[in-house]
Amino acid sequence: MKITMLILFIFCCLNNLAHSKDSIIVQSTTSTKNSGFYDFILPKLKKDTGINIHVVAVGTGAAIKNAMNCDGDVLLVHSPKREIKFVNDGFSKKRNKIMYNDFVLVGPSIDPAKVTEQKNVIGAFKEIAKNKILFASRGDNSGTHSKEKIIWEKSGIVSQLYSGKWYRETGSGMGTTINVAIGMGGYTLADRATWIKFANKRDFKVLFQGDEILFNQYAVMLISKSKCPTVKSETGKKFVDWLISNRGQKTINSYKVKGKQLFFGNANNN
Amino acid sequence: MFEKKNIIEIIDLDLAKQSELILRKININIKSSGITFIVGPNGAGKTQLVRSLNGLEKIKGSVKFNNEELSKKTILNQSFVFQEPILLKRSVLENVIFFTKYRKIKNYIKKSKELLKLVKLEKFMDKPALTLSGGEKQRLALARALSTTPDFLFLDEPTAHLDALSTNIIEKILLKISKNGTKVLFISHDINQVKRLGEDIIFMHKGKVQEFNKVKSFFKRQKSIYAKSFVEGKIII
Amino acid sequence: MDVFGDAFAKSFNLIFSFDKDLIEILYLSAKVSFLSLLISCIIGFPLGAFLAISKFPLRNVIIGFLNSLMGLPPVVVGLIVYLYLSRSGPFGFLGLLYTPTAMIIAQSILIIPIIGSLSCQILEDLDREYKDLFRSFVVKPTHAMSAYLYDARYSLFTVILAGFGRAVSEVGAVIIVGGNIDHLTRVMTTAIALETSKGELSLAMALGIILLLVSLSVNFFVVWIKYLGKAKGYV
Repeated sequence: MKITMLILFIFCCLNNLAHSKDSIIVQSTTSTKNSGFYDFILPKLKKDTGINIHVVAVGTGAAIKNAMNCDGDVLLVHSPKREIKFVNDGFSKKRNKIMYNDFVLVGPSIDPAKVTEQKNVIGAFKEIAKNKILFASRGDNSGTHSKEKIIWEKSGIVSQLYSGKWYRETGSGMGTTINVAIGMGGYTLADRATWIKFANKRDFKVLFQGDEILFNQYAVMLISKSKCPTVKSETGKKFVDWLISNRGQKTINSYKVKGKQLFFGNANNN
Repeated sequence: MFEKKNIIEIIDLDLAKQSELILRKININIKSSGITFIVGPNGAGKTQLVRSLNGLEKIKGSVKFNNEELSKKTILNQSFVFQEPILLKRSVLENVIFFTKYRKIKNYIKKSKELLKLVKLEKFMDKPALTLSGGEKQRLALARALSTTPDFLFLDEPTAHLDALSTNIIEKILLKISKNGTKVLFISHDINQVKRLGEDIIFMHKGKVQEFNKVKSFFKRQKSIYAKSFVEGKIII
Repeated sequence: MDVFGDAFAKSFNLIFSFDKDLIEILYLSAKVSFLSLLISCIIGFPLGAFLAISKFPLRNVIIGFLNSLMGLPPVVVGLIVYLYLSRSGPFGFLGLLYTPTAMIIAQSILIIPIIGSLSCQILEDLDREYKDLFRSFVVKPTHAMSAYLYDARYSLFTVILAGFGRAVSEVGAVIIVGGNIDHLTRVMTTAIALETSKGELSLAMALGIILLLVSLSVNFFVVWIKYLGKAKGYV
C-alpha cells in the first residue's frame, strides 16, 4: 500500500499530465523542422509572446490528418491545394501565407543524367526517367512529394510504374530521403532550406533550380474551434499573428544558414 | 495427568499416480503415544503415504486425525520435515520468522529465536540459510516445523547422511516432544535408530502395509518374508 | 570511417561540457524509462507470480499469449496508443498525446509482457522447489506469491534489466505518441533518429555512444548486485 502511494506521488510530481496553458501544439512538416526553422524562431517568439510552441513534425499528409483529428492547435505546412481544401472543409477560418522558398533538384556531382544542361525542371525529370537514373521520392504525401508528383505529371511520366526500380519511394521525411538519395547515388527533390542545413551532403550539390514550378509557399492556419472545441484559439492566434506581423516576418527573413537566407516572408501578400 | 493422545486413523487409502497404483488399501489405526516408524525397501510407498497424510497427494479413502477428516484445518496442526530440507533464500532466523509471523504466533520473533536455540543454531541466526551444512539445514527445518506446535509431526529420513551431532540433537528433541504428546511419524532406513527411539513400526512393501507391530515384537519375530529379508539386510523381491 | 572518430570526440565533448540539451534529454529518457519500468514491474511481477503458481485450465494458453506479446512491434503499439489518445479517440479528453505520460503508457505496454513472462518462468522453477513446503504449511497463494518474488529477487533483477534494455532502446512507439518535441518529449533514441535525418551523423553517433555507456553501466550494476547476492549465498 505504502509503495503504491509513493509511486503515485512520484508519478504526479514528475509528469506533464497534460500541456500547460500557455503552450500550443503545431502540426508541421519534417522539411520545415529539418531546416532548423523552428529552432531559430521559437526562442525569439517565446521572448516576444511568452508562448511555448510544441512542434510535431510529420509528413504534410499526416500533419493535416492530425489537425483534422484535433490533435493540434495550429497547422503550418506547404501544400497550397490541400490547405485551401482544409479551409473550405471548415477546419480553419483563414489560410495565412507566411513565407516561401523554393525546391531544388539535388544529385551527385558527376550528374549522370546531365540535368544541369536542361532548360527547365520538367526536362531534367524527363532525362532522369529516360536514363533510368535512381531517384529518391518522399513518397509520403508531403508538400514536397506533391510538388514532385506535379512535375512528373507535367513531364508525362508515370513514375509509379518504375517504383522499386529506379524510382525509390522512401515514405520518409526530407532528411531521411536525402540520406537515401546520397546513399544510393541518386537524385531527389528537396526544399532549399532543408538542403542548405543538411550536414551530410558528401559530394552532392544543387544541380537544378530557379524554375517557376519549384516555388514553395508556406502557410499557417489556426484550427477552427467549431470543429475542434479543445483548440487553444487565443494562444494559437497569438502565434499566427506574430508570424504575419512585421516583427515575425523580419525574424523569418533573418534566418540564415552558411550565409544563405532560407525563407522569404511574404505575409503581406495575404 | 491428562495426556492428549493424537490418533491417526487411515481407512481404505488408495493412491494412484499416472495410472499406477502407489498405495493400496492402507488400513491402520495409529494410537500409540510414542514414535511410530515407517520402514521398508525403496519404492515401498513410505514417502507417498506420509505425503498423503499431509494432504500433498490426491487420495481415495479416508484419513482422520483425532476423528476429524483430513482437511486444511487438520493440516494446520501437522508439520512435515522433508527428506531434502526446503529452505527460503534468506537468513536462518528469517526462515523461521516467515512461518511464525504468518501463523500470527505471539511474540513470533522471540519464539523463533527460542526454537533456533532448541536446535542449537542460535549462533547462525543471521547466516544465509543456504550456507549451512546438511545437518544444520535439517535442524533448521525441524525448528521451523515445530514453530507451529503441531499435534502431528512427520519426518522423512531426516537424519540420513547427517553428522552425529545433528542426528543427536534431532533425536533428543523428537523424544522430548513425543513425550509431551506430539504424535511423531518417522520414516527411516536405520534399524538401530528404530530400535533406539521407536515405540511401534509400520513395515511397507509394494504400496501395502505388510506389518504393523510394536518395535520389540517386530524385531523378535517378523510375520512376512519381506520383513524377514528386510531385517536380515537382504534385498527383498 | 571518420564518422566514428569524430563521434567519439563529440561524445566526450558533450559529456564533459555538461551540455545542457544533452542533460535534458538524458533526464527525460531516464524519467520515461524508469517510470514505465516501475509500472511494468508493479503489474508484471504479480502477474508472473500469479501465473507461476496457478493451475487453472487456460493457464498455459495465457502464458503462451504473454510470451508472444514480448514480440510486439513497438511501432504497432505506438500506433494503437496514438489512436486511443488522439483527441478524436476514446481517451482524447485526457489530453495525453504528445506528453511524456503517453510515452510512459506506450513503453509500459511493451515492457509488461517481458516482465510478466520472464518472471513467470523464473518463479515457475521456484514454485517447483517451494510448492510442497508452502502447501504443507498451508500458506495462502497471495502470501506465497510475495514470498516467491522476494526469494527470487536476484534473478528478477535480470528481468528488470531486460525490461530496461527494451525501454531505453525503444524508438518506434515513443516517437509516434510523443511527437519528438524539443524540450518536451525528445529522448535519446528519438534525438538520434532526428539528428540522423538531419544528416548530423557524428552527433547522432555520439548520442548513440552515450546511450551505450548508460546501458553498459546499468548492466554492470546488475552484475555487481548479483555478485553480491552470490557471495551471500542468496542466489
